[in-house]
Amino acid sequence: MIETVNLSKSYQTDEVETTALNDVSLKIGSGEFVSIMGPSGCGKSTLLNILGLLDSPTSGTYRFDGTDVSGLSERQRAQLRKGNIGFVFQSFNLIDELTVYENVELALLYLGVAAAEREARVGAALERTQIMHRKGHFPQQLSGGQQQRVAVARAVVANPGLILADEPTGNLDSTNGEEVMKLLTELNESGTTIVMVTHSPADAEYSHRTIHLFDGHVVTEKFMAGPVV
Amino acid sequence: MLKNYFIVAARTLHRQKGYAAINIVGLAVGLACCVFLLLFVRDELSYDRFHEDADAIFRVNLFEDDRLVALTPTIVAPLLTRELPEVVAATRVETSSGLIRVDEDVYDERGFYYADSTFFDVFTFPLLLGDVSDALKRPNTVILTRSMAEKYFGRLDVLGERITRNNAPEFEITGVMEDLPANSHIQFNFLASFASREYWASREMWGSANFFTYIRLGDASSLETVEQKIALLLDRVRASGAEPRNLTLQSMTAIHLSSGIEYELDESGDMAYVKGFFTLAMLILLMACVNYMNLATARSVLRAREVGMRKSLGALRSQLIGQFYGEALIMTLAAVCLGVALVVAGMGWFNGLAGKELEPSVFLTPGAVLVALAGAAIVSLIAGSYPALFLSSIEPVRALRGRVRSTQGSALMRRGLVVVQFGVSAFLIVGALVVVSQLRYMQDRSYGFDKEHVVEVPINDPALYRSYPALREAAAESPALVAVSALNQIPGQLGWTSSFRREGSPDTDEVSVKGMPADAGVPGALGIELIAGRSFPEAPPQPDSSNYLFIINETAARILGWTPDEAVGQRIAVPPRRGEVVGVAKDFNFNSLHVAIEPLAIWYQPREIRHVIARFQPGQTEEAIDHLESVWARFAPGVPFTYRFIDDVYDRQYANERRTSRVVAVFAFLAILVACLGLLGLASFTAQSRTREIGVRKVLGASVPGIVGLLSKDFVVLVAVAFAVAVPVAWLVLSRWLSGFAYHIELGPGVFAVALAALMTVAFLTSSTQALRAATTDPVKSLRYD
Repeated sequence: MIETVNLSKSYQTDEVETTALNDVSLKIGSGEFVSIMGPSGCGKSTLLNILGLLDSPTSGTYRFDGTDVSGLSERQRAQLRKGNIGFVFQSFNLIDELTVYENVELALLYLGVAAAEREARVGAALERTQIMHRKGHFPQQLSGGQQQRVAVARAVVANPGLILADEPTGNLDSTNGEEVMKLLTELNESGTTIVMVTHSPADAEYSHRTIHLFDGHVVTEKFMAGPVV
Repeated sequence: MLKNYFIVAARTLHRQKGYAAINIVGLAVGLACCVFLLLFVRDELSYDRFHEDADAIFRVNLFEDDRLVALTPTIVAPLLTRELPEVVAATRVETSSGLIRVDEDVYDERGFYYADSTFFDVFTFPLLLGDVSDALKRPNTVILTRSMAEKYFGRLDVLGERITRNNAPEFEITGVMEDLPANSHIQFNFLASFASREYWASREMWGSANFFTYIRLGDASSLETVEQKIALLLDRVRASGAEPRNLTLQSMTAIHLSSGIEYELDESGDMAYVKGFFTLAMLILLMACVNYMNLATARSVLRAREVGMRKSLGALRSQLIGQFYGEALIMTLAAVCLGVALVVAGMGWFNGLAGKELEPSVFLTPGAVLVALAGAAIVSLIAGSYPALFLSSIEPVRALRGRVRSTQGSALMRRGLVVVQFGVSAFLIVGALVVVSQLRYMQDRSYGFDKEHVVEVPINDPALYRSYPALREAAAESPALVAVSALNQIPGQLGWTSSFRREGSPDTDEVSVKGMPADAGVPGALGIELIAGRSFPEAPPQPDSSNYLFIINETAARILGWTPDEAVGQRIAVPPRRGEVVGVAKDFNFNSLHVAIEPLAIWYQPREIRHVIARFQPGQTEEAIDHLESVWARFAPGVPFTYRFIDDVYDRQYANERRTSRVVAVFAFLAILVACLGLLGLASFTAQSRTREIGVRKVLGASVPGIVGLLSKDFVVLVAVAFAVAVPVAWLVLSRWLSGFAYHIELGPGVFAVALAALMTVAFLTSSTQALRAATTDPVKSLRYD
C-alpha cells in the first residue's frame, strides 16, 4: 500500500537547513499496523505527514497504492486524501463550533455524500466508537478520551484504507489511552491499515511492526507477534 | 456544505461575541458615516438638476473689472431672445421682500420674486393649480407656494384670492405651486409677474443691473457658438453708440458650488468641501474595511486548526476561500443592516449637523437596495480578502499544530494598515482643532466696532420711513440704548460698491470703494472709533451733489495718499457725489473675515436709509429689544417687528465653516473610534501570538508593567509613524484652507502637540487593555499551550 524510496525532507529556515528525513525507504502492506518510534525531532511526524499527503518530500519517491504521488500538486493531493486517508491527532483537532455529530459528518461533506447516507454512516461510526450518546454535545463538553473517540470516528467514517495516527494517546491518561488503542486494533482487525507515531512502548505493543527513526534515518525494524503479512 | 459553513460562521460569531460586536459595529459605524457623507455630496451635486434638460439652462453674469456679478440689466433677456435663435427662452428674476397683507393680517415675508411669464419655459416648476402659460402674463398677478397658501388661507384652492404687498398694489393669485425643492438655488415663497414692475418691464436699459437673467438653449452643445455670438452682438451694440456690459454664461448646475460671484442668490456650497467630504467618506470606509481585516486575521490564529483539519479531510483551497468570503459576507450584511438602521435613525441628527433636509426614504427604493447589496458584496470582497487568502494558504501541517506565524509581509501589511488608520485620525483631529480654532478666532476677534451690541431693524414700510426722525428720538429715550441711527446696508452684508478719487483728479484715478449712505449718528451707533476729525454734525442739511459729508476709513485715506490727519478737510468724489471728508475711522471689518478690509466711504444721506441700527448696553439686550418693539408698535401699528443682531449677520457668513467644523469634529471622533477598534483587534492578535513569549518572560521574572510596556511600545511607535506622515499633509491642506480667510490663526505646533497627545493616549489605553490581559495570564497556562 505504501512504498517510499530514498525519501528526504529538509527545511530551510533563514540560514540554516535542517534535514528532517534522510533517505527513508520503507514498505507498508495493506492491512498492516505499523508503529513509528524514535526520540523527539527524529522526523517521525514529518514522515507521517508525508505519508498522509499533508506534506511533500524534498526528494525521493512515494508510491501510494501503486501511484507515484511525490510530485503531485496540493490540489491533487487533497483529492487523493479525501476518503482514502483518515487522521487521528494527539490534540484531537475537533472543530469547537461543531457538535460531535457535525464534526464526524464534516469528513463526508467534503466527499459529497448524500444526506441520508451521511446520517447512516455517521451513526454507524459513532456506534463503533461508542460515543453515540454524546452526539449533540460540543467538543469542550467531553473528556479527552471521548474527544479522541470522536476523532477516531471522524477518521473512519469515510471508510479510508489507511489511518494515520500521530501520538493518539499522547494527551490521554492510561485508561483512556488503552481504550483508544483497542479501538485502533479493532479497526485494523477489520482490514484498515494503520500507521501510528508514538513515544509509548506500551502502545507500540499493539502493532505488528515498529520502525525506529533516529536523525531522519530508519535504524531498526522490529516485528511483533501477530498476523504475518 | 453551505449549511455547515453557515453553522460554523454563526457559532463562531456567537462564541466570540465581543469580536463579532466590535467587528459589526465598527463596520456599521464606518458604513453609516460613509453613507451620510455621500448623501451630503450627492445632495450638493444634485442642485438644480431636477429641471428638464438642466444642462441647457444658463445664467447670464456680468463680468466687470475682474468681478463677476450675478445681476444684469433689464435689456439682457429680451435682447438675447430676439437676437440669438439658439436661445429658446429667457427670463428675468428680481428678488424682493415685503409686508404682505391678507385681509387684516400683515406678515413680514422674504422671498417675494418677480419673473417674466417665460419663467416656466426656462425652469421646470410644476403648478399645483393654475396654468403655467398665462399665470404670470398680466400685471399684479402672483403665484404662491403651498406653504404660503396654507399659511394665509388654510387651503390650496386660492386662485382668484388677493394679497397686498406694502399697502399697494393688490395681487391676484393665479397659481399655486409645490414648495421649492431644498436643492434649488432659487428659493421663493411668492412669484409675481414681472409685468407688475411696470417701470422696469417697459424699459430695456443697460444701466441698473438689478435682475437675474436665465436663458435656456435649444441645445446645450451650442454654448460655444452662443458665447461667440454674444460677443459679436455686444460689439454691434457698442458700435451703435450704446454702452453694453460684458456678459458671460454660467451653467445653471454649476451655480451652487461656485463661489466668488457677487450678489449670489443663495448661500453657496463649496466644491472644496464636497471633495473633502467625499475623500473623508472613502477614508472612513477604508478604515472600517481595514478593521475587519485586522480583526479577522487576529481570529485566524484561533481557527488555524480548523483550517488544518478541513484540509486533512480533503478541503480544497477554493472551498476554504469560499467559506471565509461567505463569513465576511454574513458579517457585512449584518453591518449593512445595522448601518442602514443607524443612518435612518440618525438622519435628523445629521441634517441638523450638516444643514440639510435629506430624507431617509432614499433607502426604500429598489435601486438603493441593490446598491446596498452590491456595496456589501464589494466591502466583503475587500475586507474578507486578507483572512480568506491568508487562512486558506496555511500549510495543513503547520495549521494543525496551531502554529500560525504570520509572515513578515503580512505583519508589515497589518502595521501599514494601522498607520493608515491613525494617520487619517491624526489628520482629522488636527483638522477639527484648526477649523474650530479659526471659528472661535472669527467670533472672538475684535472687528473694530461694537459688533456684539448692535441690533438692526429693517425699515420696510413707507410709514415707518416717514416717521423715522421721531422714531429715532423715541428709541433713544431708553437707558438700555446707547445710540440709535440708520443706514443703507448693514455691516456683514455691505455690498454697495462705488468708485472714488480726490476731487479734481481725473476719472482714470478712480478706484473701487465700498459705500455706506447713512444717518448722522452712525459712527456712535456702530461703535466705530474715529482717529482723526469728527463725526457728522447733529443735523446737517440734506446734501445736494457737491456738499456731501464723508467719513472714510484708514484704508481709504491711505489709498488716496493721505495720512488720517491730512485727509480731514480734503474734498473727494464718489460720483455723482462730491464733498468734504470730516473724519477718518479706524479700520474695522465691515464684512466677514474672509475678505481683507477694503476702502470705505460713509456719507450722510438719510434718503437712502433702509435699516435702523441701535447699540445697546451690554447685558441689557432684553430691555433694548422690548423698548424698540414698543416704539415700533407706536409708529407703525400693524407692521410686524423683526430684528437681527449684527453679530448673527456675521455669523451667517460663517455657516459653511461652522457646518464643516461640526461635521469634521464628529467624523473625526467616529474615525478615531473605528481606528481604535482596529487597534484593539491588532493588539489582541499580537498578545495572542506572543503568548508563549510572554509566558517565558514571566517565568524569567518579567513584571506585569514591563510586559505591558513591551507590548504597547510597538503600537506607540506605529502611532508616531502615522502622525509623522499626517503632519505635512495636514499642514498643507489646512494652510490652504486658512488662506481662504484674510484674517486667520497661524498654524503652530500647538494643535499638532494636542493631537499627538490625544492620539497617543487613546492608542495606549486601547492597546494596553489587551497587553494587560496577556501580561496577567498565568504563565503555566500560556506555556502549556503548545
